Amino acid sequence: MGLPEGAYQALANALGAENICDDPAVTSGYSYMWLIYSTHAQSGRYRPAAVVLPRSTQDVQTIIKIANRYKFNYIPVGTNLLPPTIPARADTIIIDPKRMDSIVEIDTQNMFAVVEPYVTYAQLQAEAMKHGLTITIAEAGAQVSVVANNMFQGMGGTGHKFGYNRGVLGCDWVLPNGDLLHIGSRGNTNADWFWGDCAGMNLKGLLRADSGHCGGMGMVTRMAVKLFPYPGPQTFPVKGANPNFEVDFPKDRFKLNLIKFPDRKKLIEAMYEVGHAEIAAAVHEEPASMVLSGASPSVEYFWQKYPDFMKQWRNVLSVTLIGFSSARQIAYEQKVLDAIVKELGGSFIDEGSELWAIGQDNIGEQIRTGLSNRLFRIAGDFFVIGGFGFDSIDQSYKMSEDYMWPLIEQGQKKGHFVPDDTHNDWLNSYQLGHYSETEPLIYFEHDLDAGASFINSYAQTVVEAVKRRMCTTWPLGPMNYISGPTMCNYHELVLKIKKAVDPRLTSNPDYPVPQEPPKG
Amino acid sequence: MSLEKYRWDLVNCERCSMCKWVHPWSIKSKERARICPSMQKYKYDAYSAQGRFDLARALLEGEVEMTDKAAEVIYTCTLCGGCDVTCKFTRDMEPLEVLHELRALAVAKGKGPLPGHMPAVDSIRQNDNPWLQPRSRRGHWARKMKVKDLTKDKAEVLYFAGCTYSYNANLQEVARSTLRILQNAGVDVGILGSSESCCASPALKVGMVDMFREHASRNIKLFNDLGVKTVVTSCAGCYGVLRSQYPGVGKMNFEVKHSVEYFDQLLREGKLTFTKEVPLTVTWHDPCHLGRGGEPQDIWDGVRVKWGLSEPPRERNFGAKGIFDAPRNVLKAIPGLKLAEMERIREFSWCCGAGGGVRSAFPEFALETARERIEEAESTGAEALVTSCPWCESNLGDSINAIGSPLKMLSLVELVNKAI
Repeated sequence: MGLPEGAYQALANALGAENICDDPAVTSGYSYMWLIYSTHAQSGRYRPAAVVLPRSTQDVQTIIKIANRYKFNYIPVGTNLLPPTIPARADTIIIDPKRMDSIVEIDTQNMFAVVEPYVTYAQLQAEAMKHGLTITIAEAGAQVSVVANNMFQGMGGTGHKFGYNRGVLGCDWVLPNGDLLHIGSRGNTNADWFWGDCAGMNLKGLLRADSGHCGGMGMVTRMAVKLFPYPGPQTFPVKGANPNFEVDFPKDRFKLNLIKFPDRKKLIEAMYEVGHAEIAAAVHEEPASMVLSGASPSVEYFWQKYPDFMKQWRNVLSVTLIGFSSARQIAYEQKVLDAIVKELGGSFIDEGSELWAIGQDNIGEQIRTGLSNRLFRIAGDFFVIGGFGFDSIDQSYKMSEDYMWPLIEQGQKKGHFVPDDTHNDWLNSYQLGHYSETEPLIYFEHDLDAGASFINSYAQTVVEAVKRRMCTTWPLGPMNYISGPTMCNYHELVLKIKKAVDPRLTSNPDYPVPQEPPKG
Repeated sequence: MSLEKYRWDLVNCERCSMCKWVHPWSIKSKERARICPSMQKYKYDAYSAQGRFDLARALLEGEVEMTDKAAEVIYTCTLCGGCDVTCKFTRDMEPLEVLHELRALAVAKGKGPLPGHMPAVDSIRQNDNPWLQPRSRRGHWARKMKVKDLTKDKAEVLYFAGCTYSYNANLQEVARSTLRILQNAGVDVGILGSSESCCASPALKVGMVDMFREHASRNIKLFNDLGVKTVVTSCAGCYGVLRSQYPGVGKMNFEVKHSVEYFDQLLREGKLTFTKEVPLTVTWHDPCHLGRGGEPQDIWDGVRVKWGLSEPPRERNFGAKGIFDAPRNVLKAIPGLKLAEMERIREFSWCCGAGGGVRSAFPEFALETARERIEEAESTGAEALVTSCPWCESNLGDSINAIGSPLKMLSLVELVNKAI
């Protein structure tokens, strides 16, 4: 099914014929991706009815108004990494922002940048570094959209120091009826982009809440994001050649520590202590599978090394120190870290050891994510059991131990998930340990059986979380009907908000919450 | 191999978008972050490796037909291999091979080559060159030179001029100079004159696989029969195909070298010395088929098993083992010459825009791609842009003229000549 009669021509008239296409040879490029067997199992997936390429905020407003007038759906995308951007209905267009790729401004005094949706983290950071500034970069990779990632969660490697979800300042937001809303300080008369709040009522909470609306509430066309001090070289210091890159930050300002603890409890305690001491820029529990995949130039390399590596790499905490103010800062923080590690019975992995060689590029990963997509190398598809566990560090740990790992073991027994007996998550400290997120990573083949196994485990973890009154998050669209009833029916409120701003339900209709619960 | 052989790759692409960009760690600025010319020009995801994977999967699964538009999506790609390099950092996939297979499929379905390609294809069939020139004139570039004719004499080295350096009057001097330098260095070298035949790279690039294999087989037999130890060419296009594709066609009893490699070797052996100053700031453009495409390929015929492992294990090409150091060594050895590097170099070099049949079928796209490279070269402060590929030289040179750039377009051998 295509667009309603007249709709295509209306879009072509507004944007220019070259900026809209409905040919299947082109729209096929927006119809398939990872996790698709899981996420679109019920709805099926569709080629978009058309793809449009706006150039400006005004173009986006026009597209959305045409969608409302002719009654068809649209999905605004960024760099297009997540399954909700694949249409689950026939009469849906994709708003692809490839022509909206400007860094509008870098304000070095007030330390923020204003970007359009097709600017990637790597691009923005490359420009920011020239001014001694940086940004915390999405774990999904530095090749993803700054705007889209901040609309989703905005978490990144250096979130321990730079915070979680705190980078969004002023924004231009085209609502699902086509109106333009300025939020943050952008909403005040003659104000600039510099502040995430504003005088009077601010609707920033509606923009994203905890984990975004996946294109279900219009499109942000310009976003100001916070930048942070960066004491390193003006270009990212990479050495070597593909695929064996190494990073080479000045040692007096950047220091990676890889620390083994006797068990996970000690590791968790250390994360807290590092937070209490207010040291470090990045603090992560790093599972063996993730670290080895980052160092693997091929799937064969990974599987050759993995059995032995899994035995050796357990309960390892990665702590990146950055001397923002001086080299003495690093020296001080290292002393504090040494004391914490000693007290908790940890041991530093020796620089020069084989384990160090495999993990050493972790420092580059925290500052400019470049290895994370290698997770797909392990088996084809991957995700996190039960979404993400967002809570305090010990609650994240408890969630993972209590019910996430038992479910992972079930999937492993069926042969669907890659073996892993470490019970190590990718557990991240944010805001100096006041908040955390845990990702028990699972890897599976990209097929129907494994996809079903994953989605069942995923749903089950959401159920288990709400039973225990724990906070699990990022329930994908329909999953909100599982978690909502045990959490004050928040999903009904979210749906009401969606209907209030998107009365025709044209903006990625099943997100953030679909109108109807899923079947079965 | 057919497209079916790549099904695992096609269904497992997670659309991470790495294929559209230089590897994040090597990005130095916002403006020079892209690696895919097709994506830059056409914007829709379909014009990236990820989108073409989706098209290939959809074609395999019968979701779409091979239409004229599908053929356009398939052929608006320079086959530069930039996507291949960045994808492989992350995944065990073969974007460049899939792009080639899509073209073979377009040909099989009667949608390829495109009309713009046909004069060259027909000319290769009829004249053994893509330039609509008679076979008899092929050796004229060297008619005033004293050089061994290997159809009659023996030599250790065959200088394979290639079609463009043989016929293009503006570029013939490159072949003559190269040959002269080799001779003066005491290399036992000869040529084939009018008996030389097209390497058939242009046929392969537009999906005419049978035509390519026929020419390649004939050339391999000829070179083997000559008994030469080394085949030297100055054309990056010929070099890339001789080095990476010919081994899949037949056993080769000779090694293949690009002339810049040979110059570098002669410098190291002391058989070539530079005595004259060349006071010039230059920047080097890595031709795709000399650089990332100049890496030998693993001719693999296997299957993907559990977890995507290759059976038998496959050696992947990461693009970093191409010819990158040799031209830089030669340039740096020239007295007075200063080399200023562009941002996108070596395996992450930006394509000149001419490859994959784009220059003949989509000239505007070819020029736009070249323009971006010219602007990148200008930003280094260089006075000249240097390369060693006739396709790059022509296309970049045309773009320099079109936009009125102050840059000079030079072939590396011209600088070598000035320095001797």
